[in-house]
Amino acid sequence: MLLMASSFGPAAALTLIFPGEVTETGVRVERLTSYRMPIGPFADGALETRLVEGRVDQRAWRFASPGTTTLEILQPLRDQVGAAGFALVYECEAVECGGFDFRYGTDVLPEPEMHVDLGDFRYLAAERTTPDGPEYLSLIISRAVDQGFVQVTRVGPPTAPAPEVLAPEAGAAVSGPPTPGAAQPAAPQIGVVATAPDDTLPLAGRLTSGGAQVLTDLVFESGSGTLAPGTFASLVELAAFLTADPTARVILVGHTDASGELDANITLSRERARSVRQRLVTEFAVPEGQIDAEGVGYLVPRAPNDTEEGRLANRRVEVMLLDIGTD
Amino acid sequence: MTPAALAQVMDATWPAAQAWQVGPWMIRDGAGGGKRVSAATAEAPWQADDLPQAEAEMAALGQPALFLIRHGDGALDAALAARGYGVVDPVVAYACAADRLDPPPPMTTFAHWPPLAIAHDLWAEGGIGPARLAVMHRVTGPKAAILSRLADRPCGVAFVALHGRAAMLHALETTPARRRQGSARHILHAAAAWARAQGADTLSLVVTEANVPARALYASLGMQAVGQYHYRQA
Repeated sequence: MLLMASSFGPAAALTLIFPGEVTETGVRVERLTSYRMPIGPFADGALETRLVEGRVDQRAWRFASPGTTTLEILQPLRDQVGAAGFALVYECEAVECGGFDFRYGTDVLPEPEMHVDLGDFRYLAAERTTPDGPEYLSLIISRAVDQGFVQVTRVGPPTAPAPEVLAPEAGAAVSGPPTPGAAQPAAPQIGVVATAPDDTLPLAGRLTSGGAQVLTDLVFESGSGTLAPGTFASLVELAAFLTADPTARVILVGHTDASGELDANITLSRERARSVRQRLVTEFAVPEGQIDAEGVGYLVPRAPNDTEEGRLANRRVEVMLLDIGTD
Repeated sequence: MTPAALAQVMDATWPAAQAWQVGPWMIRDGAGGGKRVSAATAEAPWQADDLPQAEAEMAALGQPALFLIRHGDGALDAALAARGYGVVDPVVAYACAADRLDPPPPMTTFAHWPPLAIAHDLWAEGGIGPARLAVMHRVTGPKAAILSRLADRPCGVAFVALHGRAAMLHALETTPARRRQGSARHILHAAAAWARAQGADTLSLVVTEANVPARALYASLGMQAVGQYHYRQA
């Protein structure tokens, strides 16, 4: 499997080769913005970052990686990044990065596009100079049960052409070396998935194994308890799960950002959860009895409340399965 | 807390996937949930000839031969030592009256169930993954996840469950950057408050002997060492 992480002028293309078939799970591109790239651990209450500017291109990929460690995923990618002329700025492994605080202080595409296991991830930042100015690259690598996840964030001159995915026959143009040390260089079986509406999103598995899932695609205005109009992929998936198993019961838990009094926020967060329940009942005909709705206000933020981005992440609803293992 | 009561609370609040008696032994299928839910115990008088039976059961489960040695198991301890088993993870149990600890300051903790996503994240960071979450979900009695908060962010988590009138705390974790800032202390106070609200009179927990900082904290809260056990592993 082979794909073009980013292309950057004829001489400066960066191509990353993964050991197996990968699926692109998420993309975020901003033409010109500033970006705080972590270049050190979270320590003493702050994350060491460098403010860089340019076109930001952030992408995540998922691939089957039964039995591999994050280091085994990282090593060949690191070699390729080095071969493309990047110099290593910082590299760390979960706990030494600063764990939880590092993860939540770092710009990561939402679940399920990108999954970061707080106990098992690796981070790498690198830079190189190009004729048009400096280019920065960061990789976050993590894994779930038998899947690997890689997020690549590239910040470079705004003149950079839009990233593209290499067609299989363009494989000969690959500039990086083949993945050294990667297990079984899976014969030139090259299939590229450009954008991947995936029908096996991990929600059901996550719920039935006792996990909680933040419904990251839901949108609430600040101060509003009503779910914005529109179709949300997470609700389609949740409705399918509940319809397939009428004995399954879930609880939706609403959260707010930290604006205002706690009591008012608890009420607001409960309204958010109820609004989601209502949507599931009216649009997907899920029986009301399968869904509880609760709210906890601003007590459990997942991001800092001192930026609009953080507050947006905190205004959310998450879902958990009730009655696991007690039947 | 008597050794028998302690054993019962441990089994009920941190249960094996399955447990069954074979001869004098209680065999536990831990389903990957760690030593406490996988170790065999002697439940009736036994003889040296009975040991291979327990070993075979554990081998059939794909688990290492592992025995829990409690107060009064001195003969078993000696027999396993003679058989080449080594001592693993000596553990101390602590307990105090649930009303000994005042409720924590407002908004420093948050008890709830089922666990929110951040509770999973904090546990994962501490190495507590799906197999141990499954242990928590198996508990049939009252239970809660307790999150602690510092500077408007969750920074620690624990699991507490009830058996009879005794609550036991498990899986206490604080994110490394926030250690020694009161997270665990707040969680202990919150666990005691939760236990009282459930009608419990005792709060207990177990900790490895080697975890000196945690033991210092429990002692500073007025918790007393009420029991000890260790494992013997082949």
